[in-house]
Amino acid sequence: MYLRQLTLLSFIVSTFLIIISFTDALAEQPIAFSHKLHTVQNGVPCQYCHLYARRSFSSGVPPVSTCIGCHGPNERKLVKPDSLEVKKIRDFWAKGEPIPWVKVHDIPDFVRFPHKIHINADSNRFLDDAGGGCDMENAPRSLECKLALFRTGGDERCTSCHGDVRKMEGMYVVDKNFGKMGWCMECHLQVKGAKERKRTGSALAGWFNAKENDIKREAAIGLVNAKGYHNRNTLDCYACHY
Amino acid sequence: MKKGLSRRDLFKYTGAGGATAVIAGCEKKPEKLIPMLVPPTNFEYTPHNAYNYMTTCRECDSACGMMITTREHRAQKAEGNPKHPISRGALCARGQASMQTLYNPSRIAHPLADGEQISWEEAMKQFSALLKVSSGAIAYFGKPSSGSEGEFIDEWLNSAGGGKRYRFSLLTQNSQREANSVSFGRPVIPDYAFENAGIMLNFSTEFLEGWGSSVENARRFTEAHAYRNGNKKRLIHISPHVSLTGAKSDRWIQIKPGTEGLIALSIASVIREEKNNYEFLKTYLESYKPENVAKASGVSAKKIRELAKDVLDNGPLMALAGGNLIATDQCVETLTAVNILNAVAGALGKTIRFYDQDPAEVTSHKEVSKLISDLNSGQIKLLIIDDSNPVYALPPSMEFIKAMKKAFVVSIASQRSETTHAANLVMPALTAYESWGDAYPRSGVRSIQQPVMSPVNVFDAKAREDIMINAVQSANQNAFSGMGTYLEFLQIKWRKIHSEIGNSDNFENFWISVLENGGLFQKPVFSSVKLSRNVISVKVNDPGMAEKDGLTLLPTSSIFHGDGSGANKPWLQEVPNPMSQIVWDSWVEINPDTAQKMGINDRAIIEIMTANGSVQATVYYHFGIHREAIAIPMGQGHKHSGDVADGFGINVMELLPNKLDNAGNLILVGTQAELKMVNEKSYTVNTDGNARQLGRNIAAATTVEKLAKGEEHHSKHSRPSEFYPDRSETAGYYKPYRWGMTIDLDRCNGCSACVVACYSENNIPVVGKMRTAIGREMSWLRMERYIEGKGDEYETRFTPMLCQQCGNAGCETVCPVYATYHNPEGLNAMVYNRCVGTRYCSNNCAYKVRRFNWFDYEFPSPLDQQLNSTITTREVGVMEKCTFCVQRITNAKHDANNLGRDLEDGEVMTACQQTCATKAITFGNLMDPESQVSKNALRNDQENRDRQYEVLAELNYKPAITYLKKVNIREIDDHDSGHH
Repeated sequence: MYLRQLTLLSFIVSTFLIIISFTDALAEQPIAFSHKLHTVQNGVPCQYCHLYARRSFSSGVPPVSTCIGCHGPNERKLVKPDSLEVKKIRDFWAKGEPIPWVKVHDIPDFVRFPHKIHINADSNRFLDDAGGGCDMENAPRSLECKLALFRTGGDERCTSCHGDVRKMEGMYVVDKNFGKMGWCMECHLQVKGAKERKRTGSALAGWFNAKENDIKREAAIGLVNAKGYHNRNTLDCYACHY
Repeated sequence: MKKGLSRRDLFKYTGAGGATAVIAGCEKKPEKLIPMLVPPTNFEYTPHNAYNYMTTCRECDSACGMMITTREHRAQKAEGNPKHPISRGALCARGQASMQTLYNPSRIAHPLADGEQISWEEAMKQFSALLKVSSGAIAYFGKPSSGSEGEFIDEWLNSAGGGKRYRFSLLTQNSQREANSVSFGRPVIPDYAFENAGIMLNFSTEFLEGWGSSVENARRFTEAHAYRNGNKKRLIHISPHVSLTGAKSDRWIQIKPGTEGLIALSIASVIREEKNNYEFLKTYLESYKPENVAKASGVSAKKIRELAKDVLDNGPLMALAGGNLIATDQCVETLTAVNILNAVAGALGKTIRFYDQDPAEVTSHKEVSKLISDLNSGQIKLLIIDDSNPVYALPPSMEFIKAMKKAFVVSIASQRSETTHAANLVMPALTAYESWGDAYPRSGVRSIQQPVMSPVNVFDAKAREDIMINAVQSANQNAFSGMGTYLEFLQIKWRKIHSEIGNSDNFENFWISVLENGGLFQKPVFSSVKLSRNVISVKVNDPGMAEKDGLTLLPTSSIFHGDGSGANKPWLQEVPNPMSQIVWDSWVEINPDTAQKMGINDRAIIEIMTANGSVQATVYYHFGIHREAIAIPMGQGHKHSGDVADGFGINVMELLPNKLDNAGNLILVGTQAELKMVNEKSYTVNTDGNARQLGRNIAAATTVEKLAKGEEHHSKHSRPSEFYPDRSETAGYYKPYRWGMTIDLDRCNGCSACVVACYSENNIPVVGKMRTAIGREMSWLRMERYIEGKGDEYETRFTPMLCQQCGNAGCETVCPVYATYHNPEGLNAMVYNRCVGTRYCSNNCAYKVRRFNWFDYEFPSPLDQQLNSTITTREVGVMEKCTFCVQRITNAKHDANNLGRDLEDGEVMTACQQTCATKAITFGNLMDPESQVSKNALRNDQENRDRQYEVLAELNYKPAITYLKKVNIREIDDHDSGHH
């Protein structure tokens, strides 16, 4: 009888289906919001909606009132009044309910990632040749290109981690290793003085970084920046885990 | 072959299905991002960032200024308001624990009628109907209040048709007012100008732990008392009992209970003779000359004369008296005697000054007795008990609860208590941190209390005053006309202040500046006083308590539980009492000599019997108590105050008779108690392993003399050469910061505010009595108490012990997964997500400051709302310890980074340092030679060098914490621990 084989098969198939459904599928959002439409076609900058990025650890999800600011309540029809998706926003607004967006870029809870420090960071802290040789056409997600994007600043800086959101209809994670420590470290190791400082963190500190290590030498390896204050140590565990 | 599925196959398939489910379960479920509907626009909001609001602490009557840190509109941490003249940025343990007043799970969630939940409409309907029918027969029973609330209650009672108000506090200074009224003609509480004193005589006052404004007292006392420029002013404790304040004193003169007044007059008689002033006191004081009081007080005439000489040589004098232990039947007389001493020694106007503002009115027990008889006779039909717990605070012998049943009782309260349990109608009130108010604790200080967040969402409560306004308005339409809330009433009062002080700015701007500053602070105004000639009619007699049968019962005040309102705060139960190191309990202090004579061993359970009742409690051997006395701290032994308070310890009030002194206040001292052994062992939990240092020199002390002679001078310890290269401050390892701390043991008085602050800042779980008993308490910072010497000549030393952030740590080398390591800023970092819980580090830590999470500890709702969101709340299987508040360092570095500079000295304060009233803790960058911490810890000049030491320096762990030795005026001969 095939019943047995059939049941077995169905179990195996369902197993795969469940695994797949939890991994690769695009998260289903309550509203089919298009980043592409808003950023490229309508020229909305990232921090118009993610307004806390430069001031806080969290970049912030726009409050419903921000959406309603352009998409207006029914009587004041502003942008795209007839869209079905816009209607969904208005429904949420009318009900007085927040929109339950699904989190896409999630880092583990034991990591403290401050958006503000990254948004405000001085690009000169990178090694001078960091980001050189970026081939945007063929390998836009190579380390070189990510560094180059970060150094460019502005909205390009956001894309160095989040990918080119301007081309995305639905939001998804671009880098396979996103949020893993090695992925963070790739860039953090390109910061001036990081490796040298890392060396001082070892038990051999005294020899590498002894008394004669004056301000000039510190500046030369990037511990002190052009403005004369000390760069933050980006390789210490306590920078993110506390 | 059978058709279909065999049993075996079924298991196989379900097994596969189960595995599928497990795999699916392991996959991370996507989290939701819930945005706000409308972001707040009327005040600033950025997620994760801290916003501070100034308000007033209402845990006791001192009205310290408070700064509450809120994140995402939730209060997370209480700190002192640095601009406030009373607290100057500091808070005591109770103030720190105010966050647990706000988020206490035992808060009342709904209006209750005889214990049953009812709706607000129903409750308000009942309340206003009651007001209507009982017009003229209303009594209001509340707490003392110095601000606008007094006038509010008067106006409210007027609109309700008249009634009497009672403002009761268990820890009153009523007798002091009476004494000052007799002595100086003014019923005021003086300002104690410690800074002007040359020598301080303390007659049993617990001024560092709950008497008066203890935060202000601690700050001003320490500024005067701490070792400076080779000098130290002395505090002499004249008392039958050594409390925390006594432990800080330089000398303890043991007297018989109730004889403080005799000693004061005796010292005054010698001083007067010498100075030949106050002629009218000549014959009066002569009868109290040292030889006459020596027998009654138990202090030799020679000793009294020595004390008098000390005062004459080292003045100006400041003599303090007050608190529980002088509340004998001669309380007013004792306080008058101390007033005479102050006057004769020339302290008036110099060290004892009087404000021109009268303090808040406080009801005496005599008036409460009148209320009880009025209740019994049916003259009062409606009793409103506002935020007060008389059922607990009054001795059962007064029979308040019986009288209370004669009237209809409405209780307005935020916390569950014995009173709300017995009340007919209970209205849940907001706490002080969610509502408006003000306080004028003394001249020049008008402190504002503003809501720091919207009410905690799990309680359906309303502001106390708003409940009262609404109720009276539905009973009387003319009441509070045009006012809907207490805020409006408050603003009318503040408009008056605004015009009085002649502020040229408009009221709105003035009001905003008041809210920003936490109040209106002006120079205090003093008025001069003169000793009245009438004092000679005040006779102080030998109380003869020590000669009576039984032991004199001394109900002492508790630094944590106060009038009992502190008992339902988990932190205040969990943090060990600094003197006894006992947690979650009450105890009976007894002199070891007396106890041994009676055959009672330490930690035995005894029954304490008085004429009024009997209780059972654990014995605690205490050298610092007269041999004919026992002491029991107040504030514990609740029955209906929530899970954390109920059933722990005993209520000492149950032992007291209903006897009042001349000022009409309850006599606390004068009851004789009999003891009976019940059980040789008790289940009492204390956190000190050994009260003795056993030569380890953890809490070191030196003497003024030794420092002067340079005997303490030692060049820095020469350390053995080592395998690892030098990581000291000069070697260039630490760039640009090496965080370090100094703790000045001469300033620390053991008040344990730092310990509670640490719990609050760092999400430290409370584990309870049972787990503390097996050594699983989680405190990152503990207040170690050590006893030196024996018998009457003994000394108590306190050492705050926390992670020493060793440069050469024992913990780091044994961690198999590098979860703990030395970071480039000198912190002994602890990475929770790396920790696998071997606990090797804790075993190898010589300071025993690492704590292991044996469980996922609970923060019962809504206490979880208090958790600091800037750090990780640890979970089961992870080691944790003090991080020097790394979250504060990191956040400050982020801000400095954005401003383009390095951190400056004093920019980062650890939570323990921030709350310390005596500034015993200094924290900062050891790489900066000009930082305060560098000066204290590293300077090799005489001022700093001779007191620096590291705990267990011989282990060569190179701690980042340098302690500064306590400075004594005499050498304590420690028999037990040998020399050190």
